[in-house]
Amino acid sequence: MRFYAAADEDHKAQKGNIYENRIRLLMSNSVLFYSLAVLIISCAFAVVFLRNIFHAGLFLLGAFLGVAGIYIALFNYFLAAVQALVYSGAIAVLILFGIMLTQRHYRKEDPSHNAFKWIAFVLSFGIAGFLVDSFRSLKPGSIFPVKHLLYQMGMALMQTYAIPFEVISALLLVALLGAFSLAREKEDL
Amino acid sequence: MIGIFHYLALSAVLFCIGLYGVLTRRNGIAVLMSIELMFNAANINFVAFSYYFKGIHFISGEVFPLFVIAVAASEAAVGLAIILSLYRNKKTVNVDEANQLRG
Amino acid sequence: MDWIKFAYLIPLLPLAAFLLIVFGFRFFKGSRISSYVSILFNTASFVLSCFVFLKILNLEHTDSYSGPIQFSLSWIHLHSVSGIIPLHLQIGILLDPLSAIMALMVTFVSTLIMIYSIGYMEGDPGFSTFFSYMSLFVMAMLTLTLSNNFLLTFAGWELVGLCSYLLIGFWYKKPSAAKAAIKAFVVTRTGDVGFLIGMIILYWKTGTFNFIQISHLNLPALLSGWLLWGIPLLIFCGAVGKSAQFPLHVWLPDAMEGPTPVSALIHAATMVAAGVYLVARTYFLFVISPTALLVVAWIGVFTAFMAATMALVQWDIKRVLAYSTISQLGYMMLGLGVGPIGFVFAIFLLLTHAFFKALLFLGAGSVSHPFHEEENPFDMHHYGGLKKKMPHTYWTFLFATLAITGCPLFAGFFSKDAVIDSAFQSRILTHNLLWGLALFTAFLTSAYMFRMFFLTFHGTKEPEHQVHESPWVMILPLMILAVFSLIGGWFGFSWYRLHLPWHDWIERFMNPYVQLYHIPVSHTIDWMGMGLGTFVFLAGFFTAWVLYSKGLRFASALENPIIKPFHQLFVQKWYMDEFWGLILSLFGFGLSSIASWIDTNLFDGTVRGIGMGTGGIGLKIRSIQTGFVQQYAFIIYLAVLILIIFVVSGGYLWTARFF
Repeated sequence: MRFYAAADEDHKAQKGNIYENRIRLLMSNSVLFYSLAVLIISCAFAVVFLRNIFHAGLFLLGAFLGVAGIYIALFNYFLAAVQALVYSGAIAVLILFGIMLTQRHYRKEDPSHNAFKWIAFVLSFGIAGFLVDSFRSLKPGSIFPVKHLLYQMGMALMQTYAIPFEVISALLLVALLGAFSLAREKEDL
Repeated sequence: MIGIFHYLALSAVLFCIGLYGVLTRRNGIAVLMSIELMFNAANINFVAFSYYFKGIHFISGEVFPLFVIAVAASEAAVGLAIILSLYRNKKTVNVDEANQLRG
Repeated sequence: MDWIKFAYLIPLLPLAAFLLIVFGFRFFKGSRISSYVSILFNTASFVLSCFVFLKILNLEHTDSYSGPIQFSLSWIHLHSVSGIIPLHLQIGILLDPLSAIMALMVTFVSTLIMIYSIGYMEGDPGFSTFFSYMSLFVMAMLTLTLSNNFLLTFAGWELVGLCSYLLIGFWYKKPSAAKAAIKAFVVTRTGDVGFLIGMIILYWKTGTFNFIQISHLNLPALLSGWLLWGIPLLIFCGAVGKSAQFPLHVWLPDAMEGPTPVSALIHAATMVAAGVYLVARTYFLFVISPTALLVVAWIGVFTAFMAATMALVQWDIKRVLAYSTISQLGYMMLGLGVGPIGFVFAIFLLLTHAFFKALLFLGAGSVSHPFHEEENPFDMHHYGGLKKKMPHTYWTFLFATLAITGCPLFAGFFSKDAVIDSAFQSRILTHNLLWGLALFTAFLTSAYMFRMFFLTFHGTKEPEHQVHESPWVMILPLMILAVFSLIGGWFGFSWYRLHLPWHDWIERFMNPYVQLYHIPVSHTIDWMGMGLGTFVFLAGFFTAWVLYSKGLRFASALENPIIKPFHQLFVQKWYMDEFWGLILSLFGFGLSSIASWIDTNLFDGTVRGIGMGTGGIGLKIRSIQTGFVQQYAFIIYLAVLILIIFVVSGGYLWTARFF
């Protein structure tokens, strides 16, 4: 434990600070954040509005990558990597496969949105505006970056959150089996 | 200067876009995609709060997204399995056409 | 070695035997091992009781004696929450002279009965089951005996009831046995309700279940008004049920359906003794209330008289014995009821009665053994002239009969007659009437016991069966009990003040109330008590001898218009069964018709209304369920939105003002 902490310390001293300072510089210019925000929001809009479901899936991939960038902006590189690998690499690809498997009976004249679309539009984006407006009073404040983040996350997973961690593993197994049994070809259905 | 406000606003907007998608998209897979967007919005909040606020459980905000991602992966797998099953039986993926349980 | 620390093993050893037999049933089946297990553990329990008893005896006679000994474990402990009584329940044992001598008697008599049962139950398909039930029965009785609080006593009490149910209905394929078992259980339960209510009220008033703690409280100050006599009488209800007192005595004669050793156990050591023991154990509640004592005394003496009259006309040997038990229990209650002066003799009668009543039942079982092919092997019409055929049974039975009828020098003379005499000496209301009735009942006792004795063993009748003596395993316990029926009473000389070295032993040992209430002890020999006791014994003996041994079957006298209605009344058991039947059918029918009305109209109506209402509402609103998932999601979203608006606008603060 002491050994890893020390090693991490050394690593930080040599390299970490350089990168962090560089990115913090970017952040202070807000360039990274705003470009990521624009990327994410526009991709998300494309996901929900595009008529072509395959294109929507591709834009979903873009939104996931943008969120990975946000994690980098918050100095959680590990989570960014997980986001890129699991969301972009696994979930988005899974969804794209799903789209490709179900497009045979696609009817072009079908509406892509249901009858609620106007009232849902007003209510959803109304509440978005309301939320953003209510957050405006928050001061920028100071930041508290976590020291030895990856080490701490590992310790938390193995100590504080050991039981949720195990439960999640069971959940994944059950989901795997459930998905398999649901999607299997059944003769008598 | 970028503060917590910006992250929360981004998260709120992302969440509401996902919500709109969930409420209006007819395609079941699109509904799933919108749900994933909402998950992401929540994760951004976790990490942002952990970064901007100091507390005893500061590490929780960094760890919870991992759990959320795992749950999202399960949800996507099961959801897609359901939609594939629906597609196989009804030749459609539109959620408003799967209404056999109506009263 | 300080044996007293292991006193908790006394009830646990029979329990261990029960568990061993139950779980080892597969291996014991069809062999005698289960009986050996039972007897071994019971004997160990008896030996332990001996040590504990001797220890208590020594403690009692030294100056360092500091009251009863208790060992307890905390069972449930809930602290007081505003206004609610804190709940502190214990499991513990209480060792004082009363419980020590009682445990000694229970283990001793039950061991002998178990030894006898080896012979009696030989070849029965339920041999192992029988011994497991017997062990459980002894365990229950010992729990009740040694418990230091009402709650554990009640647990033992109910266990005793359960075991009596199991054992009376042991031959459950016989419909009469099954019915008798249910009757015993239900009738005793009726009394238990009173016991439970009294116990709860007492807890509510005193905040503890512990006997010693309650007895140290200033009870007259705590229990005001009717509670002062109400609580003892409610507890007495339980004793009335268990000890078969009027009017709940109806179950005991029917309980004869069980195997004979069970009858012996129920009548001598366990079930019916429990009621008397309970009153003795909670006597601190009774002594403060003259009303309660008077009720106890009158119920006791009336039960004794009524049961004796019924015993006069029975032809079933076991039923005669059952009524004699009821009668003797009535004497015990009388002894308790006349106050501290009779307390010690009631307990002494309980102990000595255990010996001779067990002996009588076991002897009856031995007599009936050759007749087991008869429809009712206990019917005395089959008997007569058995004296020559079964000499051991004859002599032991004679000892028991002499003991119960109060022949001088036998046990009953020192215990039963002492109870009667204490009724005379007591200063409670109408004590002369009590005493007279008790004395007359003693005459009846002597008469019906010798009637039974002559009908069974004497006479010129030649039995149709090949009558033989019972095996030694059955005779040996009879002999031991016969010895104790003779010498058991010698520890009770005190009443007659014969100055032997131990003449006041039992009084000093048993009776905390004598010192507490300053009972005057005179030092002259009580010639009147002794003389009257001997006189009624002889009178009863000669009556029976003239009427039955001389062959005067006074059949013509029964047609006499004065005697006939009485005879009819006694044969019909004072119509008590009919009385209860009437009560139950009247109350039962009334209650059940009310309940039926409530059930059909109120409950069924409510249930049906709910069902139909649900259906109707469902029909109306089923169209809301469109099967359109996104509509549901939209409604959920709207609901959350309303909540958010409510919270953000501070609405909860606004609402909070109203509460």
